[in-house]
Amino acid sequence: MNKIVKLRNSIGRFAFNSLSTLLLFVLWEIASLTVLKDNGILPDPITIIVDLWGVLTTTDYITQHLFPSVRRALTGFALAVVVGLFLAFTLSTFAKALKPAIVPILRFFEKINPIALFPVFMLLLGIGELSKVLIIFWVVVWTITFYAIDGLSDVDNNLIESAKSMGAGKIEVFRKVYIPAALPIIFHGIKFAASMSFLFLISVEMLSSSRGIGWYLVAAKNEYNLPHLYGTVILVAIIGIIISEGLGNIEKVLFPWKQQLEY
Amino acid sequence: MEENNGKLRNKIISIVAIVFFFVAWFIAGELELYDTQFVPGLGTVFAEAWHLIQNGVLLECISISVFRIVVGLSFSIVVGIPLGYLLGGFSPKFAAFIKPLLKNLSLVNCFTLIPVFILLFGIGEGSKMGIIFWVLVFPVMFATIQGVEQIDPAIINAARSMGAGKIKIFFDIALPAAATPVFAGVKSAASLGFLVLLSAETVGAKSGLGWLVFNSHANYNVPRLFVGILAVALFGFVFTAVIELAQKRIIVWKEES
Repeated sequence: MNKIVKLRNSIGRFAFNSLSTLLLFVLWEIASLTVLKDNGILPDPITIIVDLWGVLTTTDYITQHLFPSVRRALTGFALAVVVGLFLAFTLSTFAKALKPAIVPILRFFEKINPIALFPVFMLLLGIGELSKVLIIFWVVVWTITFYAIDGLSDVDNNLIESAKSMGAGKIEVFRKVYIPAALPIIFHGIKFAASMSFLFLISVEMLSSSRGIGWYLVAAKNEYNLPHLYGTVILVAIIGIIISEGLGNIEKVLFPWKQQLEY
Repeated sequence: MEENNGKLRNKIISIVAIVFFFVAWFIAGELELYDTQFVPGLGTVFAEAWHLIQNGVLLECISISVFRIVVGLSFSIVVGIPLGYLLGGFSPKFAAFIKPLLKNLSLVNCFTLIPVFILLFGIGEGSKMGIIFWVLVFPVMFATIQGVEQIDPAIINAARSMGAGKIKIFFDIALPAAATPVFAGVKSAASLGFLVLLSAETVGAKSGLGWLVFNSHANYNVPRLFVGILAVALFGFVFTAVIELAQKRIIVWKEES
């Protein structure tokens, strides 16, 4: 019974949260029908949605553009999670002495703007998949690393000392004190990184690619196909919202004791 | 005392590490220890930078990019703080209704908006500043809402009972309360703002750091490309430092921990 009530509440909350966005679309539609008729810049939302639906169902948009894009973002992101966590764990455990020397260099790498770096990656690795995947990797790997380092260094000293005094060995302390204390912060970094990788992918694909969502956007703009352009903007926004909200919900379920400030 | 010594030591180590990195790059480039075709030595990069400083290109690119960022940021602050104040302070019900929309809008991929903004505002400055404004206005607004909502109602009541009007409450209570979260919001949004600015400057721009980088790439001028990359990184450092300095100057009532 309780579950049903809970479900109903969350559906109600979802409906309430969608209300203002729906209202925006309704106002947009009314404005397009009255004031902004045939302005050549902003089509009305129904045209855009119908066009998007047509593109999704009748053309090979999903297999040709959506999947390659998602695959690039996911590959770069997964690589960054592995490397970032490895770096953070190494610098927080075995190689703690190196931390003050390595971290500033990593901070410098973080400051190197990935968009500025992308031409170098193209020169070194060609304009194929590898340069795109690696630039996505570069965008998010530092975020993941620094969140994990912060998480691992912020552990309450009293907890460590009391675990030690109760006879826990080094490995046990790491497994039972460090990991649970740091995990919420690490996950927060990973969540942030997931949104960033998808966000950024579009920009990379706009700069250089022959397929993918970013390429599709540029092509739509060059052909002046407004419904295609706005439809893709809306589709990408929806995917971004799903990634961000979905991971936020997972975070709430996994770490109910550590809620981040809600924006 | 001991802790201070440890901090000082860490700082020295980090400076030494950074210097070591650049010296190693310089020496490796001079002695051609690696193929310098795609990654030139630091000496070559500095020579090119000196050349660009002398003919004024570098300064022009930096000042144009700074100008775009500053105008976009100012607009987002001027619009975002009063809007956030209105939403957070006046009508909680309306705020609860409109917040999900604002959150959804803030999650719209800003890179996909670059072509849209070019259509709406033309290829000139309007679209570039507009996109910076868009990226920064939501963090500023959300931070203001958060700051305003955290104000102790007793303070507002006390001010009111002493005869303060809504405008006075805004300037004397809400603004100081929102200052700390707004600075945090601007700092975290600024790095995204840079990315978007650079990306926007690759489309139809004839100046700015993004143009410098991509024009160098198109002309295969690798040393100039690296000057652009380092200038952008330096720009990021300075920008963060300026915001932190402003934060210290403006929020004088908060003790540093």
